[in-house]
Amino acid sequence: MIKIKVEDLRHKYPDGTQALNGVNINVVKGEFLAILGANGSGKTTLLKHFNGLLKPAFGSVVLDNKKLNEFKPGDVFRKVGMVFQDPNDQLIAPTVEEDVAFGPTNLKLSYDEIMGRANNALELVKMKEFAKKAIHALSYGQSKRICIAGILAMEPEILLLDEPMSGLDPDGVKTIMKILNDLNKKKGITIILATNSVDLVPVLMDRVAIMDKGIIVQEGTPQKVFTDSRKLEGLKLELPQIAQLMEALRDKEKFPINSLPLTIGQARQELSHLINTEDNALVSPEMS
Amino acid sequence: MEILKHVVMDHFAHRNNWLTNIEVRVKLFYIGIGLLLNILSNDIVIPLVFLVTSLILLKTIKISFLNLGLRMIMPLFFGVFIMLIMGLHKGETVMLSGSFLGYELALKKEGLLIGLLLFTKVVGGVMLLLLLSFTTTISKICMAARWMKIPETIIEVLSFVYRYLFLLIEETETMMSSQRSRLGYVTWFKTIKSFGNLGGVLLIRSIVRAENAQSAMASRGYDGGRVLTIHLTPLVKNDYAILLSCGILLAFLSYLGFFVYS
Repeated sequence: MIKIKVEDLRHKYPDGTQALNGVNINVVKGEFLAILGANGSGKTTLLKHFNGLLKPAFGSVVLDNKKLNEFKPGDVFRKVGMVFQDPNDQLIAPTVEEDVAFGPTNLKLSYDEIMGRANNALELVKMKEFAKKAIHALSYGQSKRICIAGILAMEPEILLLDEPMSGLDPDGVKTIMKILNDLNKKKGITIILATNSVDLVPVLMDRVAIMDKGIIVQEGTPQKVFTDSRKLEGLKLELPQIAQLMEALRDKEKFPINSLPLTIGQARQELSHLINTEDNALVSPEMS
Repeated sequence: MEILKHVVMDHFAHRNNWLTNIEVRVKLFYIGIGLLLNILSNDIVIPLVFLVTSLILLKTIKISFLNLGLRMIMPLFFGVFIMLIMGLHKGETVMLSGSFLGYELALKKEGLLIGLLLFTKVVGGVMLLLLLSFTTTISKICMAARWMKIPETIIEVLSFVYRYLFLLIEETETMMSSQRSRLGYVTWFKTIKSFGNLGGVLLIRSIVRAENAQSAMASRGYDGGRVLTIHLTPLVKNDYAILLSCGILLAFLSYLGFFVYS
């Protein structure tokens, strides 16, 4: 079922920058989609069109078979929540609890419902014990988790995330990845994530759309998209590091690798298979 | 910058102790009436009582003299300044005289006494406010403000100022360090130039930040409603008991200040 349908979307900023040049993409319910692209490729501008923060200069964005401009003000935000790149842009209340409750308050819910949702959202991002803490006393990683909680408290059907892993330490990345994976797989929330971190994509996402100069130049599963390193370099991107290693082993050391592994797990399987085959090849003649 | 950071840090109010646990409305009642008595008093006794009691109360929750001193520097400076001005301008009985830069100056007793009263009022009043700020978070003050029917816009502005003050200090500190590391403060001329740049860049950044915050708020459904949600719980027996004790203390002080020493 198609949740979002974007057709020939164009956007120009007042300073003359043409950020989107005719984007076409469909987002399916329950999928985990990555919008991958170099800095300035138009990822954030596209995300801002998905929840109506920016209005299309040309083309259309359709949500649940209805154009975004046909929705009542505020109705889109109930369905599509966006987590911004810089937590300081999003966290506006003095304490964690107040900030997470901000969205539900604007939905005009009852006080008990607001507090219930705020507590559940904090539980989901494992930050319940920080409820009374002042926002300025949080670390960067904690702030990012509170940003996600603030959006989850609005119970959106689609979650947009703009570079959620940027500036995080490895542990922070792992925590956010687990949270997002749980939200997608267990809660069924459709997630669209803008990133330029290629290593993340094959681990989490079902589908990748690569953007360059305001258009989507390639789209498909990570296995389909991450095949040609030269093409990616032309888009100011690269293969995931483990894939680069495997590609080097294939091309320079002539290892018999057929399909390029994109994750550590896939690489481990491929290498184990190769080692076992090699061992069998060495052992077999003597045995026979 | 370090001193400013030290002065605005509010982690004391987030701690768990007997003063932070007192209901915010009870504290505001005591401090509000206290400030009023402090302003209206004709004698130094009431301001001094507030100064000493606030100091004792803050020491019970282990607030150091350093933390108090840093926050008192400016009020003390202004207090002394007012006292000197009063001593120079009012009264007839000369206590001390001399010349300064060709001007004949004389400190007079009556003026100094008025100055002393004003000085104690400044110090007593600031101490009462410090008692509030060391023991009450801004969220609780906003909650109490809403309970007192203070307009929502004022509460909103108060919470934003609190939230973004720390961010402003942080950004200023980062930019100053960056300027300093590129020799931006080695001469007077460069210092003035760097300060000018700093102010300009901070202004532009504030505008950008405000725009981004507005987008983020809009995407969470904000259309001019409330920023803060949490309500105050009803007052309990214990709160009424403390309220009564505060009332008796304040009534006793009023009697002392307005009937015994007036």
